[in-house]
Formats: sequence, C-alpha cells, structure tokens
Amino acid sequence: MITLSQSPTVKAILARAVVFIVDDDSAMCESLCWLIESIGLKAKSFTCAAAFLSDYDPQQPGCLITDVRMPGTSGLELHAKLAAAGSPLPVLLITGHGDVPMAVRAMRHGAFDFLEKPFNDQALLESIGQAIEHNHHQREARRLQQQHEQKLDSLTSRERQVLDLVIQARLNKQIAGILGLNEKTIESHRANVMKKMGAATVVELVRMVMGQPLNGAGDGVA
Amino acid sequence: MKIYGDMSSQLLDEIAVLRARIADLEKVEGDRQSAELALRESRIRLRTVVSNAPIVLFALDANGVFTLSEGKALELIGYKPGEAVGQSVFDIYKDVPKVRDDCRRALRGEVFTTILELPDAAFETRYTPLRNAAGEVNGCIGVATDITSRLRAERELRASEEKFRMLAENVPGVIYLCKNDERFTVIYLSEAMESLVGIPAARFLSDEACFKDIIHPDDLAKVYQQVNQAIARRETYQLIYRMVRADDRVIWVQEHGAGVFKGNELAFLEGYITDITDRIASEQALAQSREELERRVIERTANLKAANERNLKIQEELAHVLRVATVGELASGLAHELNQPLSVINNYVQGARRRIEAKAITQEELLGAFEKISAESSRAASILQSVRHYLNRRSTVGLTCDLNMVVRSAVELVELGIRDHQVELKMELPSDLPAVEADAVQIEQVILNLVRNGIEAMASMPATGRRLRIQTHQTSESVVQTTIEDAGPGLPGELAASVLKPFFSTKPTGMGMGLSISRSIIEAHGGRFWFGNIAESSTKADNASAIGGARFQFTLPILRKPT
Repeated sequence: MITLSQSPTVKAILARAVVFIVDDDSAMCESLCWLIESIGLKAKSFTCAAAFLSDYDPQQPGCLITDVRMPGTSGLELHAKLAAAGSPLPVLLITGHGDVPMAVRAMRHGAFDFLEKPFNDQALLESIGQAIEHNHHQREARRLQQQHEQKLDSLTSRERQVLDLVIQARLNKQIAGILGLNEKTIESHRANVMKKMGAATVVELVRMVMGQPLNGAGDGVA
Repeated sequence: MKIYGDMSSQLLDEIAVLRARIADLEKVEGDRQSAELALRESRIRLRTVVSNAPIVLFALDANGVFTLSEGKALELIGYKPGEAVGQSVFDIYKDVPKVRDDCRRALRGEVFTTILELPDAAFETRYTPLRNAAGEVNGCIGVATDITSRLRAERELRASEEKFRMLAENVPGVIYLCKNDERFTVIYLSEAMESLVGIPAARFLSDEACFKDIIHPDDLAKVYQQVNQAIARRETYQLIYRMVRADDRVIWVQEHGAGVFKGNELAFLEGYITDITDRIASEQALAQSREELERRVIERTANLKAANERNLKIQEELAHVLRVATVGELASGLAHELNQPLSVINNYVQGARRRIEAKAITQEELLGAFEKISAESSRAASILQSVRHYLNRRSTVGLTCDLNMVVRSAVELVELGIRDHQVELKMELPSDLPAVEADAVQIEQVILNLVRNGIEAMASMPATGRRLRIQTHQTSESVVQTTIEDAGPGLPGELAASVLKPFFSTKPTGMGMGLSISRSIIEAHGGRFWFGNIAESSTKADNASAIGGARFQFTLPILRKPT
C-alpha cells in the first residue's frame, strides 16, 4: 500500500505535483490516469512527445511516465531532450517485452526508473511517489543553492573576505591580523555577513557556502 | 776459132752465172709468192677472226680518217666491215663528243683504255697511237671490245645489289651471310646489326666479332643443334634465342635462315634476324596476365563456389531459422501486443480497487472502468484472432509431409543445443511411416518448439540425466502420432493443468505461448495436440518406455492415396 500520505510535508509535495504520461496508446494513457488518480495524484497524459513538450512548464513539479517505444520521438529521446535542457523532471520508462537492455541503458543516463509491461500497479505507484519526492528535493536544493548564491552576491568584497576566513575557522583576532584591520571592525563585518546570509551559526554558514543541503529537508525522505 | 772458143767459154760462164741468178731469182720469186700467199692466208685468217670476234678493230690516219674498220661488233653500230674506211671519224661521230675526244687523245699519242656507252651498245676501247720512223704520230689503232652485255649484267648486278642492300638495310632486322663454322664467321651483315646488338656490322665483317660471341651462352648449344639439323635435312631453320648486347642487355631474337649449297657442298648460311624482345615480353606479360587471370578466375570461381555453397547453406539455415523462429517470434510479438491490453485492464482494475477501498468511487465511475476493461479484453481477443488467422491461412490440403524427415531436420537445427546441453537424444522413427497431409514447415516449427522446450526444461538438472525422446508411429489407419518426451522436472502445475484449455501464459520463456501456437498449428491441420507430465499419465500403456518429465504429443492425418 502506498504510504506517502503519512507526512503532511509529503502530502503537500504530492498535492502540488503532476504526473505526466506520454504514451502513443491512448487506452494506456487513460488507464494510467485512472490508476494514478486513484491515489489522489494529478495526472496529465499526452499521446506524443511533441504535445507534451509544447505544454510542459519546467516550474511544474512532478514526474514523467513514458513508453520507450513510440512512433516519432521515443521515450528515450524524450528523456534525452529533457536531460539536455537541464530539466529536473524524473523520468519513468515503461518498456515492452525485450526492451529491458535499452531501458537499463536509459537508467545509466539518468532515467529515474523503468518498469516492464505488464507492470505491477503497486510498483508503479511507489516509483511515481519516489520520483515526485526526488523531484521536490532536487528543486528545493536548486532553489536554496540559488538563494545562497544571491546572498553571497549581496556581500561587499570586504565582507566576502571576512566570510572566507570565518569558514576557515579563524578567530576575529586572527582575521583582523590577516586583513590589517582592528578586531571591532571585523566583529561588525562578521555580524553583517551572518545577517545577510541569514545564518544563525557558523556551521550553517559553512554548509551554505559549501553548497550542502540544509536542515528541514531531512525528514520524510525515503 | 780460138777467139771464138775463148769467147764462147766466157759466155758460157756468164750464161751459167745468169742461169744461177735466174734460178735464184726464180727461187726468190717462188719464195715471195709463197710468202705473199702465206701473208694473204694469214690476213684472211685474221680478218675471219676479227670479223667474227665481238670487237671493232679500227685504224685512223693522222687526220682521223678510217684506214681500217673491221670486226663483228660493227653490227652493233650498224656498219659493215670496211664501210667506214675513207671517212673521218670526226664526221661519223660528230654527235658523240666522247669518241671524238678519245680519238684526239690517241692521235696526240696517248695509250689508254676507255669505256664508251652508246644507246644500244657499250665498248671498252683500247687506243694505241701509230708512229712513223721519226717517232711522229701518224695515226692510231683502236680495239673496241663489245661489253654491252657485260655492262648490262654488271649494271643489273649493281642494281640488284643495291636493291638487296636497300632491302637489307630497310628490313626490320639483320640480314646475314655467314659460315657454318663454330664462330658463325660473318660474310655479309646488314648495318641494322648495330642497332640490334650495339656492335657495328663492320666489326663482324672484319671478323673482330662473330655471332658465337653474342648468342646467349645458354642458347648456343640449341642454336648449333637446330641449325645443323636443318642443314642436314636441307630445310630452312627458324630459331628463337637470346643475344647478349654490347651493353649486356639480353634481347630475344627470331632468326629465319637456310643453308646455301653449291652442289652438295654447304657454302654458307643466309638469313635474317629480328628483335622480338618486345613481342616476347608482351607475350610473357600476356601469358602472365592470362595465367594471373586464369588463376584469379579459378580462385574467384572457387571463392564463388564456396560462397555459393556457404550462401546456400546459410539460406537453408536462414530459411529454417525463419520458419522455426516464427513460433518464437510470434510468441514474443504476441506477448508484446497482449501486454498493452493486459496492462490497461490491470490499470483499470487496480485503479477501481483503490477507489473502492478509499470509498472514493461512484457507480458511474466504476461502470465506466468496467466498460474500459471490456473494451481492452475485446482488443486482446482480436489480437489472438488475427494470430489464429495467420496460422490457418495456408491450406494444408494435399500437402505431403514425411514426418520423420521433418523430425530429423528440426533436430539438426538444435543439434548444437543438444550437444551443448549434453542431452542424450533418442529417436524412434519407423521407416514405414506413411506420409502425412501437412505443411512440413509448420510441423517443423512445432517439433522444434517442443524439442527446444524439452532441452530448456532439463537445463537446470544434472547433465547425466538429460534425455530426450522423439517418437513417431502410426496409431490408426488414418493417424500418425508424434511424441516428444523429456526427462526434466515436468510442466509447472498451472501449465500441466491447462491441458486442452485455452490459455495464454505470459511467462518470460514464452513457453505457454509457444505451446498454444503449436496447438493452433496442429489443430489447423486437423490433428490433436496435448501434453502433460509423464508421472500423471503413468497408467497409460505406452508408459513403459517413458523417461519421466514432460510429454508432448500430437497427431496428424495420413495423406489419403488417390484410389
């Protein structure tokens, strides 16, 4: 049974997500929507890659389910296109009989998962949930990274110098010595850095600068 | 009369002297007369000789007037003997300056011989001046010998020599006369020899060089032998041999020649030599390229033949594989096709179930899902229908099929698998088996599929126990039955139980699908297809020879002979 609904955070994530389906078989599209919607997810289907691509908003969180074999743009090509465009949308590939090696190759190139037809519905839905969460974290990490970068950009060059020395675990006295300034001035710069970066502790500051994920994203992750 | 007596004796003496003188005179006269006679005779003789000799004998006086003109050769210039006497040579030959000049020379006292060529005759004339007691020239005599024919012959000879020389120098080769000695000493050699061997012909003519020196040492014995053989038979000879040029370059020559005999004696050899190096080279090149071509043709032919055989074999194999792959591929294709509706049905079923569990579905929604499920089931059924159609589209009426041969051919195809899997194969194929009415290709697919299933079924067991039995036998007047048994673990429960029930297994091996198609094929032929595990049918009479594992059986109708 799907257990995603346990955490309110995850619930919120799933509520915002849309499961995109691209399959040339419209019966398959409809039935997948029916199945996916049965667990309260939003689903949107397209019978060709081009239709999906013209409709797709990169800001929309979710995941993509696509058949490997399709006339025109295949599922693999669609995945490659998304990857090339830097889209964080996780791709689940559905393969027919004998397409497994192809799907494995796609996995190596960053596909999120693949399922062989006829697939187990439970397995599919679980994979979809994981993909959506994965996508959420990816987006979150990317967003925070952008935020940190913006904050770093707001620092003056002196503040940046102080920050660099702070994250090297230097004391204010040492920093003052290195930069040839008095300790009071360093204290003032340091306070500005912490404020501008929105960091409460030096450890937080270090994580931000090193690009590591910060608190709040840890719970509920599979 | 003494006086008288004296006188008379004196007179008598005188008379005697006179008488003696008369006698002398008479004698002299007689001598003179006989001398004159002799002279006349000798003159006549001379004239006869002169007038018949092929000469003109003439004499001129100091003024050039003919005092003598004799000889048979006068005819040549239209004169009779003596006719010109009294006429001046300068008048007669006023149109022939040469004669006038010659006569003047002679009358000036010169002794000489000259040749006079007239339109119709030619003379070699010796002029001799005549002198008086004071030594002054008072005439001359000339002896003109008729050389018309000699000159003509000479001229002809010269012309022919010239012609010969021209010919000799212009023929594309060397003309020679040589002795048949060890050196082939040269008598005549055309100048072309120089361009042939780089040694001037003159050096051969002066005997500084000879043929022996330039004939390739390896060919010399052959040349001697062939020349002497031809001479012995008085035949011409034709030789092809090598010469070594002055620059050490070896050339090929062809020589045509013959011995020239004087009576029974061989005088010399004559012939001509041509350079055939280029011809030989091109012949060799041609021969080589012909050889090369021939070699290549042979090689190519062999290759083609091999390729053809290989192709034939591949084609046969391919045809077999294609034929037999049909069941497997059909199964795979079918699996692919059926996956779609099956997946869709499952999606609807599972989606509906979840909604029902969550109590989040209306009756209308559920009915909608059922409709979708129904539609997909119909889709699956139509896929299967089209497969049956495909299998049945070929009529088998009247087709003859030697079942034993089909079995052998199918086994041949999996021979490698049998060997690799160390399967002990037992075939019981009675030679008196009647022909069945069936499409051999389709039956082979069925047998192959069954044999493969059997081999695969035994893959997980120890090699020693892997046995496969194929048996054909006539079970009734109109039916031939084929049995294929393996010693594997037997069919899985659900398959074994599905005997004669319509089914489609979606197992990855596709075995169930293959079986279903096989059954469709057999049934399309009017036969029966069934299978089971041997242990389950142990009560059957034919179980004595059973080897355990799974057993597949099918029947086919015997071809009815036209009566």
